[in-house]
Amino acid sequence: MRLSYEGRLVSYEEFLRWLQASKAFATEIVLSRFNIALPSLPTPKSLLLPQREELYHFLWGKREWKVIPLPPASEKVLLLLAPCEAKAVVHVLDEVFLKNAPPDSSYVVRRENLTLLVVGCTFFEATCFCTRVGGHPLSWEGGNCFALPLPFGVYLEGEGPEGRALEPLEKEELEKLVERLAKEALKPLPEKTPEYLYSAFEREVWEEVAWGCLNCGACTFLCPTCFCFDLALEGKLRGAMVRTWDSCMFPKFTLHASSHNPRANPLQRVRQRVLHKFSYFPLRKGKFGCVGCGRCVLACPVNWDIREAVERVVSCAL
Amino acid sequence: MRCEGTYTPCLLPIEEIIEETRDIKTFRIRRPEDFVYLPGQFAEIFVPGVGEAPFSISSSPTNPTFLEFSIKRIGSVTQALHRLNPGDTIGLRGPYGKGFPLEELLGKNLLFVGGGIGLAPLRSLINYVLSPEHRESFGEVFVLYGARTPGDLVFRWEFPSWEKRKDLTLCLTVDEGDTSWSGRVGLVPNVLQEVFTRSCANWVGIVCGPPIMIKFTIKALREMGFEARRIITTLEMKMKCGLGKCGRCNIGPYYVCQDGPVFSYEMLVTMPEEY
Repeated sequence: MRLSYEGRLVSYEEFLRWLQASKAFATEIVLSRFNIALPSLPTPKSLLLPQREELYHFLWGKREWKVIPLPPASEKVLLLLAPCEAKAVVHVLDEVFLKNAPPDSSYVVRRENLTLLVVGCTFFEATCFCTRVGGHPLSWEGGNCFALPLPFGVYLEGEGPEGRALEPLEKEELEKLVERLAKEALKPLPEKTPEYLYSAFEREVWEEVAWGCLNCGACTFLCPTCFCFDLALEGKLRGAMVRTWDSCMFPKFTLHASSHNPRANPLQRVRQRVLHKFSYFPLRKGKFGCVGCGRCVLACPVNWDIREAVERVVSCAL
Repeated sequence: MRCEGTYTPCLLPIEEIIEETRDIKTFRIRRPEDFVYLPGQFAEIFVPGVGEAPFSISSSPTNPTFLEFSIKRIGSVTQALHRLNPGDTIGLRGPYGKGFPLEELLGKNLLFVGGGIGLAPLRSLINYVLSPEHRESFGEVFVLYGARTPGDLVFRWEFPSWEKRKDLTLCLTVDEGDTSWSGRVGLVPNVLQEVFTRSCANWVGIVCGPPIMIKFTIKALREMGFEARRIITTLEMKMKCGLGKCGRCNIGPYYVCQDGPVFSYEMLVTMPEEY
């Protein structure tokens, strides 16, 4: 959803009061968009797909095995998040865990408990590239409400507190902001990017592209769209089936019991990460699996940059 | 099959265990009423206290009373399975994946080529085709099955019932014979070209076995004139969820657990060679 200009204006005091009062139906208010450097705080991904989750318990008792399904632990959450993060939820996580049948039973419960308050961005960070992958700093697609912090108050659309209409001068300010953002926006990737990348699967350029990457997996953990997980059993006579985050950067991710490994070398794993987001997912779902939030770029210990990787390979395939 | 929670298995006792070879056993469990599946599909088997792994179903869905899984001892879950006895409990969730394209096979002659434990998923379809209710819908059936040694051939207890049928040709081969073996000796792809001398018109080749055997069998079939769309194989990848969510079994944009495990060769050639 794009800005309609038909929204309303509330003061910062009113807005904060509403957020606090919202605790009546939301037990937590989480400021996720300022949470790039603090992974211990919840992100949309960790709220919907906890880093560690017990799916069911099993135990041996009275000479028989029992399996006890666990209802997912979930609370109502009003989540403030950036447009790119909202897009990660709606375009990628919902696609995999809700729409791809059968839906994931614990995701369904958590998703229903989540209210998305999209906070628009008024500037681009150096690492931002949402506009390159079809996003927009003022889009609130899939969100329940939209807030934009402006110098003279908070502009709101969708659910939320009552407010007043914008004065003509205020509307002008808002239009100026939209104009400035449009000017600063990056050129979208070519429409055929998924096809170009797929056709370049065998190209030698991947050796250069993958060379610097340590395969540490930090990017995949911070990524709001990376959803791969592991299922592993904990305990012998009693325990749990535990779901944890996993990463395509790790060699054991695809290791067969026979010791055969289809993605045994680092190049194959880097290629998998880039192609999954920019080729495989788009070819299946018609949209990029990357939202351009730039967290992976910011967090990489060796400054490996997925933007450059995509550009390199696409330019090779053209 | 319905269980509370997407990944929760239903617990069932093992009814019977058949020792196939020194490292392969067939596990027979009672088929839950709502377990509706097609030949070629697979299921996740849970061993309490150990873990979970995906296995193709080796029994035919035309058998209403039990399910069979033929399992080679190779990793931690399969080792634990091999230590179990009849009456012990395992968990089951599934069925998952797409089975063999039955509609495309209607009226066709079927050439099955299996290697080692690779006969397991083929056996589900073979017995489906041989069942009285479906036999007339398919043409001739030719089965070529090979293993490393005579002791590595699975389902030997079932072969007499196949051999005595007039509507099925069974041809066995081993890479390396022994004193007990009076049958054919030779690698499956080579033997295939010797024994299958008919015109390939209206035949579909269905192949499963170790990757190297699949590769050379497909090459042989192509040389014999089989079209790419008339060659079908079923693949293996590391899997966890079975539902296209955990993200590890993809070959290019396709998830083996959801889009496969059965693929036509026509499809396979469009996919990256990363399996």
